Amino acid sequence: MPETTSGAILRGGSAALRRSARGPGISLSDIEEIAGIRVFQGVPKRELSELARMASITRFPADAVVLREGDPADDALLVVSGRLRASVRAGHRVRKLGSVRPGEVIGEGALFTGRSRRNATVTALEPSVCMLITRDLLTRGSTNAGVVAIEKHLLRVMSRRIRRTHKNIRDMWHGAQRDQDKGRPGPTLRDRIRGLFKEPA
Amino acid sequence: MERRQLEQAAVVMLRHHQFAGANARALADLLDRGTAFQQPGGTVLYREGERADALFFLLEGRLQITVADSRGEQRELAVLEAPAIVGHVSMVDQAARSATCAVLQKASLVSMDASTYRAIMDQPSAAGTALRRLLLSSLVQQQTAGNDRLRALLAGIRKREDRRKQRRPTPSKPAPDVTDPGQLVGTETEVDLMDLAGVAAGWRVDTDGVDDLKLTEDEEMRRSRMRRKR
Repeated sequence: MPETTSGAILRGGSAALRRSARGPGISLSDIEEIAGIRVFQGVPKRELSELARMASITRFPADAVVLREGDPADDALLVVSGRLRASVRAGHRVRKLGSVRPGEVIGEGALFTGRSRRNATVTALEPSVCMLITRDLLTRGSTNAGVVAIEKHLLRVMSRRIRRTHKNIRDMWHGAQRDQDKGRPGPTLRDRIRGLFKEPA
Repeated sequence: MERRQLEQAAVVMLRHHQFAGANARALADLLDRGTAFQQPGGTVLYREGERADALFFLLEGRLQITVADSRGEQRELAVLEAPAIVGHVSMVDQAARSATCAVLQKASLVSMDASTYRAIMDQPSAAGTALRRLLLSSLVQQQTAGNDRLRALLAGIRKREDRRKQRRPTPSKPAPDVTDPGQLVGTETEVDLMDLAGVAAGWRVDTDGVDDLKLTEDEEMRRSRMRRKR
């Protein structure tokens, strides 16, 4: 079973990290990793301390299911340490989608839309620590610099996805037009879409 | 623009973009930091390839989004109705505009220049929170809608393929003269792709839809296999 706790207190500097690490359920390495992940670069320790007090930190042993496809969804997770793997059911098989590493946020869609189901299963590949990001945390922590950093991080991630997909689709569209102009039959739409998502035809 | 009008606009915008801790006053404060203006139809707000220097909140009117195709012709991707936000993806990632945006009919807008955007974006204030979450909400909505459109596109391809199979020639009945529906030669598929391009550009949608797409495809393939087995 994953172990969840909240109330980590960071009062600035490594000494504070060591002190707060003595609190129940939060290890020194957990808190050092929270402060060390890229998302929180430049965020004052005082603000991270407040964030750690408000947020829940959850530890998952290796092979634990962190999120399950199809389950109701109303929060997201920031990976603090460890490594996780996302997968989806594909008929009788399970298709691996990729790994999730420290600093990445998963399940963020649930925070900003009415969408209520997980669209992938996420499993811990090794012992992992995650920070639970809830709507309540965003509401209570709206003026916290750590929450601001998480939101800015999410904006960058999403805009990057939009750009990447836009480029892929545009290349596909323009490629199809060029084939048409030259009278070449070209790949089918289905094959092009498969190529877009790097799947073998 | 009067404060009352901004608050009304904020209420309408919140109906379309729900987010945690949302409140109309904070959003009205945010809009108040921008510059309200009106533009007649035909005015270009920004052009594809330009460097981003502002984002726009559309409060009234309609906008047309176009991109150049491989032949250099402008093709319409979407028409946006108020309330909407445009130009925000380029502001977030500081990359060039991915489409051209023009006023389709007289529009009431609020523009926010890059320096104001950056200043508010970093603030742990109510206005900063409103800006970040409004943009996040918009992007996530686009992403979700993108996934749905990709699913619909694939389902459409599958349906057309099924119809084509049903029209297979029999010895007594020659094959009808139809274009391969999976081939990218027809107007219909081109429109599909333009839709997707528009969607992915962030006007209607985005797509982290890869994962969902694979699932949909696999599920369809599995069902198809099952049907063949039977």
